[in-house]
Amino acid sequence: MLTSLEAVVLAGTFVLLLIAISKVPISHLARQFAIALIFILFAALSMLLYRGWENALIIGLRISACVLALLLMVTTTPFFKMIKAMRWMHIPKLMASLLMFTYRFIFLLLDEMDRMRLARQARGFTGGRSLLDKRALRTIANTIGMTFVRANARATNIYDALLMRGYSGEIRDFERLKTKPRDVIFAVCFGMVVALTLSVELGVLTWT
Amino acid sequence: MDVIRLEGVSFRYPDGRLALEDLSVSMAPGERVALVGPNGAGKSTLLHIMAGLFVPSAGKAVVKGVELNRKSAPEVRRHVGLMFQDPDDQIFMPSVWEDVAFGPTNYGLPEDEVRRRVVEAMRMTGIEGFEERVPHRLSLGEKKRVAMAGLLTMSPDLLLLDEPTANLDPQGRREFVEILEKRNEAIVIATHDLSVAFHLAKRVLVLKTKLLYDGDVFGLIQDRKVLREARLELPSFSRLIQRWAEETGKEFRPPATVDEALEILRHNYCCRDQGAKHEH
Repeated sequence: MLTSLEAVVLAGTFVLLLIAISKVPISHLARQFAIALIFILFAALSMLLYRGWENALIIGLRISACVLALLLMVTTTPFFKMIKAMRWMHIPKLMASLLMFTYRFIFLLLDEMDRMRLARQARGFTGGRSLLDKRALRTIANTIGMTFVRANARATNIYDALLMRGYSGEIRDFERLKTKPRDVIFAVCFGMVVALTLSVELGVLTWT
Repeated sequence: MDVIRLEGVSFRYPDGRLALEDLSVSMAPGERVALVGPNGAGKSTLLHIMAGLFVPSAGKAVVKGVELNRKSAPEVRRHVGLMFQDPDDQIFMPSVWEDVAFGPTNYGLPEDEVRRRVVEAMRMTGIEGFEERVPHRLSLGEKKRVAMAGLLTMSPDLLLLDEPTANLDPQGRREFVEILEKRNEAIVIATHDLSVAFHLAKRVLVLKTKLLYDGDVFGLIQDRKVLREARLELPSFSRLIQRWAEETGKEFRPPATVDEALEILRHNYCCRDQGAKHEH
């Protein structure tokens, strides 16, 4: 974990450089980052009260760099490729399968919930008179419960369909991930940045 | 050897509901059978047993010489392809190519062989050019073709289709039927649409927990008792010709397809130049 301001700034600069090269719309990243900003500010404020402004700055920058790096990865990498990469890094196949199923079918689940919401509205449900409206709470609770019931029924069908196509616990890759020249270039650059950052962190290299 | 043989098969769900009772049916390789019946008749349950997803509560199911039980179910499933009513239950991968390749890849086939099968299956189902498309953004008809292609890559001996033309527009239904017409595998089509059933299959099974009828299409068309009990309604062209036969006192074999109905009209209706004599 980076604890020196110079190392954190270096790491953050690398992330910003990657964002610039990736050509991801800044507004898109900014909107996603804004959600995390509240928590980052909270953490920085807590650190400010107990350890001073320098530590607050370090923690704020560090968390920001991590969040931006994660957002960049998620925005530029198809989800299924991320799963393949996780399996290559020996993440347990059960976990990888669960993530893949969740990602694939969460949209169907949201569709089901939306259909039920429309069905409620079509039959006059308007959300109740207040937050404590018992009838409204019961209706919403039933909807949530039915979503799980229908999702379970759907999951059974989906599992049967997977079994019919030879699924035995792991999604096999048709095409393996292949290393391209630009992957090698990126790996080398990344290695150099890591080495530089660690050197600054450990005091081997200093700004002055 | 029969591709599938059921002997005295019964199935009861865990909640006690009896879905199938004492069914005995067999199918030869390449044979096409329509499976019809009212809602809740047990059609989907029967397909699940044939597919090796359910094990019979009583009786015996044998697929390609392999008797179905919990241990042999994976081997049985290798011979069978089941197309679900809702293609969203079946389509899984992020691109059409990957989804169609899913089955043979799971079976560990070499990459070249998988590629060959996928290209062929996409050509047969008319979805060439869809390789990079996202499956869940396709139309219902396109999704059904992708689901079908995904089954064909596995080269099953028996294809089970659960309401394959349900919710398709008329053109989509026709296109899907054309795909099925070219297939050589044994096919079971569970459907409410008798016009599709009669067009594709010469043999019909009528199910209502028990087997009410197992015979040819023409026998079913004339068996009003079975039609009534199974809540079936003949295609409109069949009903039209039947009513016309009753009113005119003519006798002929009731039509199962539009072509047959047209032939009856041509044969029995007078020619145009004699039409004036028959004007009312």
